[in-house]
Amino acid sequence: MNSELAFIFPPFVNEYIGNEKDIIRSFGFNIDKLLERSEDITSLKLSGFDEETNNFIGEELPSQYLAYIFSCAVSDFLSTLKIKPALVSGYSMGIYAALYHSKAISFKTGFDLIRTAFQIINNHTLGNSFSMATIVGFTENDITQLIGNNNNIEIINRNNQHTFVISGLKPIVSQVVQKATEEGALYCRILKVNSPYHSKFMHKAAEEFSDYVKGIDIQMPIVPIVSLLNQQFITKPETIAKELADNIHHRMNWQATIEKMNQSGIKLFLECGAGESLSKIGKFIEGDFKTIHLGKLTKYLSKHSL
Amino acid sequence: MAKITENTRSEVSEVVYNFFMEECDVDASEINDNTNIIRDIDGDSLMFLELIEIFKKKYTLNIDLKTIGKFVVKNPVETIGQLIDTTMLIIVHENNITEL
Repeated sequence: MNSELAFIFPPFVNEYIGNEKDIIRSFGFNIDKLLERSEDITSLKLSGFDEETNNFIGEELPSQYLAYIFSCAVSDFLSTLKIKPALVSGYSMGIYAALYHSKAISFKTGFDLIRTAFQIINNHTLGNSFSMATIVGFTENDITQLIGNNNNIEIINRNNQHTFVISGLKPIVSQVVQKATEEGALYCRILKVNSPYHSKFMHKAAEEFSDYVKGIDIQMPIVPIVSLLNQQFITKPETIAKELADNIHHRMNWQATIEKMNQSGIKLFLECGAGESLSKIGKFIEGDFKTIHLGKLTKYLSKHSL
Repeated sequence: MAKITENTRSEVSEVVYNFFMEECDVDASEINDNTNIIRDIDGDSLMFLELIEIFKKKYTLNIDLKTIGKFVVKNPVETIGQLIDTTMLIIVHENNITEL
């Protein structure tokens, strides 16, 4: 185990690098076989996914499955290379792949959790239109002022000092994004999701999901998982169950999570999955650490031993 | 307040070009002042933010991102040349940039 290494698992992937499957194959891992196995589990034609065009982007559940599959593939080939982290953490739905890596849940259970959470959330948000967005270049105070007294929207994550994620009713999210753009936000993006994840609108869904989670098989993790919600080290199945339910409706703090791991001695974060979102976010978090994404992994491993 | 010398523009230019070569995996011969950052080399807005942070530290600038954002809304940055020009304005005028 490398005491200075952590694996971090990305959420739903909005932007793929474009050649993830080739990179994973170059490490000798059979991603096609894993996709076939995933098709058997999900009954969805996932092998038709093209990461260059991101042809599943409008389909939320398959997109979540794909993010999970790519993360598990990276986790698997890194394990085969005997690269072992001291800690793991998952951003939002990245928690499922983090739990898979730590052997707390099986590959199939990850799919069951993703599907069930998705269905429960859909049932509880029927009849309303929701959205989420990222705002870059504003302080938390700036965004709080934009939101004002509106109870139908909230900040649900601090990615870093310059980047926040908001979640709530779709028209309100759009209004806040428009206002932020007019008032000088360097970058705003409406996320391709239809549910207000991590917000108060998810309270009832989280209660139902909590009941479901009580019935699944969760093992003792072989690597501690760092909570994105309260930055505690999770080492027991019962705490994992609580984290899974809380992850649906609690505010996250990715910046604090990275800082906590850095303070615990982590100097290198490997972004285990598709895209490079966590590496980009990490550039604006202060600390003595590096983040390497899949696109840079081959070059990094050719020069460094882990 | 940043100390501006006759070399500042070439320093800024060197930092910007090295940054894009590293981040976008391109050779020096593939980029010039007319290169469109998003369309030609697959760059993104976060790279602008990263460069602002680099120059903020390098020249100890007193700048507010929101102020820069307001300026950029009216004066969009698309090419490497425009980015260097905007960076020079930020270094010279800091938070007074919106008064230009």
